[in-house]
Amino acid sequence: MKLKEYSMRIRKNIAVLLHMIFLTLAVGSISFMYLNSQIGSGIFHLFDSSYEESDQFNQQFQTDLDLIFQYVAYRDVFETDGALDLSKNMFSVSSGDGPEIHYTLEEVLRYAKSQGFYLNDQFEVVNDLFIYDNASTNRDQMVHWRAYDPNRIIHEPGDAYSSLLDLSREVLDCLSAYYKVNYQMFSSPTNLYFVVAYLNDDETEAIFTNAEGMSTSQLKDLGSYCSLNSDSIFIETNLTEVPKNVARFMEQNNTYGADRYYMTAAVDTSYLADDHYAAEAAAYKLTRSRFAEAIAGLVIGILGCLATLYYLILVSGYSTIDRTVPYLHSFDTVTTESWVVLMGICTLFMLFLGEKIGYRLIHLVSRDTNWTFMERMLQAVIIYICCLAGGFGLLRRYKNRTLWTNSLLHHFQENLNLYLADRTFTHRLFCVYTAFVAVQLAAAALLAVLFHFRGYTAARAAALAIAAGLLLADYLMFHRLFSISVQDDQIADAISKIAGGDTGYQMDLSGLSGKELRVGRMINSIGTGLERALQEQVKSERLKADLITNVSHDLKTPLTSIINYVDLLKREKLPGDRVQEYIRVLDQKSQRLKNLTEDLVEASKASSGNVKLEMTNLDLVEMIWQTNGEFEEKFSTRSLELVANLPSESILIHADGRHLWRVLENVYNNAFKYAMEHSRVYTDIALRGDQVLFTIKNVSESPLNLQGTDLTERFVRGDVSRTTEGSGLGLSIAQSLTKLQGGTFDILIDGDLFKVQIGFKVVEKQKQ
Amino acid sequence: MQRILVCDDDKQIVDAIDIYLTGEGFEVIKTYDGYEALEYLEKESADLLIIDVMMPGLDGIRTTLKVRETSSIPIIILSAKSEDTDKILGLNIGADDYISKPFNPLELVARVKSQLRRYTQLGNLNQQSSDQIFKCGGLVINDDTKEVWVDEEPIRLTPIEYNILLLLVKNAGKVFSIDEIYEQIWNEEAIGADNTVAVHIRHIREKIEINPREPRYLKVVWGVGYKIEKQ
Repeated sequence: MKLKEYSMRIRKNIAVLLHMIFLTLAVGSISFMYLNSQIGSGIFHLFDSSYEESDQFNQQFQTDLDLIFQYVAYRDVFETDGALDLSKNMFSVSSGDGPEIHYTLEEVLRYAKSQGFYLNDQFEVVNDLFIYDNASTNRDQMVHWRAYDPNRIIHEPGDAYSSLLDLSREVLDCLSAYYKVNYQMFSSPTNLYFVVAYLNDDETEAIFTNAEGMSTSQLKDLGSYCSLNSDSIFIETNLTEVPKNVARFMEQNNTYGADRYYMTAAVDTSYLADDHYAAEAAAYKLTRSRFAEAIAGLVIGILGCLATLYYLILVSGYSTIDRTVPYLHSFDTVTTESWVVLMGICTLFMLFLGEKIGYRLIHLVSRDTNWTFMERMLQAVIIYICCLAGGFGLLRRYKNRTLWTNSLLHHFQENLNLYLADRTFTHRLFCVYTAFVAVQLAAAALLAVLFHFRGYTAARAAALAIAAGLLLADYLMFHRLFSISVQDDQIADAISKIAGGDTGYQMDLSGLSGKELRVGRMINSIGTGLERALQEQVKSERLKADLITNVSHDLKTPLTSIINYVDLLKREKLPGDRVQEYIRVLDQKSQRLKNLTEDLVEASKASSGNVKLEMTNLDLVEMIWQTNGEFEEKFSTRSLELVANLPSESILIHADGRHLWRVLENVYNNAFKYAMEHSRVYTDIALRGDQVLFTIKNVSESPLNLQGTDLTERFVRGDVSRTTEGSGLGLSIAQSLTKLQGGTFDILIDGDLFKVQIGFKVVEKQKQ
Repeated sequence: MQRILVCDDDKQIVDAIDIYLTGEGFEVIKTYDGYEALEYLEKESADLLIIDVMMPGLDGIRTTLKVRETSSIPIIILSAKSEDTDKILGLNIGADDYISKPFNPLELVARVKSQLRRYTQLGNLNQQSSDQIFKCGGLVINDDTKEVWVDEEPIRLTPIEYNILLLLVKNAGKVFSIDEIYEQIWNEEAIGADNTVAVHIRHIREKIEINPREPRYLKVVWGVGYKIEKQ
């Protein structure tokens, strides 16, 4: 593991190093291409075939052509028989009404020297005196004639005046040009050859050349050339750019009255002579190849940078090669936003350092023309490296999944959740509303301020931005409120479902968040709890039913034997009245025990709803007639008269016939048992809206000193002494069974009048 | 002498049944669980089986099923389970009658006799065939002689009771309301019906049923009417 980590670290370091090398290569290439003299022609200058086609060559040729014409113009001014003649007159001036004074070249040069002018080795005019003697120089003199500019045209009267200094300066400039040509094209080896000739009737008036004995065609064969003939307006050349002013200069310099002239200038493109053409051609070639190398370097550098960057992105944030163990540096534990800010500060600091130290170094090692570029490059490199470091910090966080969790925003959100999520709805509403109002007010205030500065474009843009932001914020607010409402609706839905009896309902929590999510969870746990409670209740009901069945079995088995053996005893016809009396009691009580057991089981089942119902539509009137038929004889044994007051039409109700019979049986038996002898029992049916009420009334034999509702309690009987036959469960069973079938069961007691009222909903009523 | 196999895990109940049935002239074989009963039936034969449901070992339901695989003797289930579902289950799996505990010994004897009569005289009943003879299980009505038998026992009925019974037997399975019966029997429209018909029905039931509270033939369809179960 250690080894793995170690090798990983080495790999990373190598990758970083490689990245830096490639970066240097790319930057170096860019710099070279940028600082190249060929900048501007871009990559196309690679496609220029040769130096002769380049702009540099054209410019150089143009310069040299201009020099040649200056030489043509000034040669006869300074020379006599091919040599510099110092005695030549340069100009003539007069001061005021004074005589016209002629200055020779020698005099002019002397004056110029006295004023600090001289020609340097490049034949350029230099003045090392900084303060002119204004008193002597300012005195303008009228210029009558200039040897170097004989055809000067005076446009204004002032033009005719000039100072001696300026004049000598002019002479020096001309001399400088003369010397340059002399030096470059005659004294030094040169690749430039020229012929300028003026002819008059085929007599050569003047010829200027450094190519003695070479014909025009020979010159042209040298390589690049430019040729002009007085016969033609067409400039003959193979240059990429036609030289300017050639024709004009030819005409201007025709001071000889020549009727014909011709000129040819050519560059020997084999560059045999070591002049500036040869040097530039060599430099051009070198630059070109360097440029190609720079492009290759740039491409390699960028590709290398991308490759190493890709590798680093892959391995960053892992401590081993198999990239399974995420790894964070100790400084990666700072929060994301802090890291970004830190890297920003770091970048600024590095830029400051670069300005204070890097720029100095650049100034030390490179030319001043390159400084600006180098400084910009340094800035770019610093920003790039800092962004890289910062970016990798973020990348490590991302891979370790701490980018969001370890951000201030996340902490802030968590804190906000602390404020909002765990609070009451009221508190939350208050917080949110306060924030909302605050934002609105702040935005309105800002807009008002900006309105004041509405003249400024920036203020208008800011106002627009704020308005857009406000709209967005309002929309987000609405969206949030809406989604909360939707969630609340879901919750309400779930609650209504659970309230509606679907206790097993589990709501979908996926759309919920925050407090709603917690509420949803609570609802689900309520649902689960309810369901569990309900299941437990159902289970206990079933256990109860099982218990009843088992207990009744266990009771009935011995009871069977008791009843049977009592009966057998009875048959033995044992002697003695007392024995017979005992057996009679045994018989009676065992029968009662039997009834009690049966009623007990039934009551338990009825009250726990453990009864199977077969609901059908049946005629209550018919049912009562049937029941009356069943009981009439029984009632007559106690001299009870059954009075029926039933409608002739049938009234259909929805009930289980067998269980309703059980209800009526119990109610009739109750009347049979407790009604006063020789009294009447009334049964009647009445309609009350959509309810049909069956009532049975009788006069109780013993006083009833309890409430009607008490009688439906189990084991409660009208006679407190409990001497009469009956389990005390009859009415309770009847009530439970009626309720199971969806009916109502009421007992009303008015003095000795005992009344049972059973109500059912009418399904259909039809006239017979 | 007819042999009755009694099977119950409660010895006293078996003994009591033995006393009653022996007194009626039956031979009683006493067994105390389902395996014993099956074992006896494999070796010997019996004319009727009285069996309890809840017994250790093989219970009454499974014993009944086993017996029915090989034998068609009448089986009376005698059980402390008195639910309708229990009765329906018992009768559906092959029992001929179902008596719930605690039982009336006389009823048990009556039912045993009834089952035996039907079992032994089933062939005779099938031979008797006439337009005027109506049968429904053990209930036979001869309209020529106006005689009624239940399990070969003659029954005495009043003319109205006889007419009602005949109407119901002729239309076995059909439910007649009180009004319909009244109109059919008295030949006049039922205006403000009363409980006359219901009382007559009750009288018939008391005469033809062993236990009128749990009628085999004349059934009350509560709130609808009366019918003779089609058998």
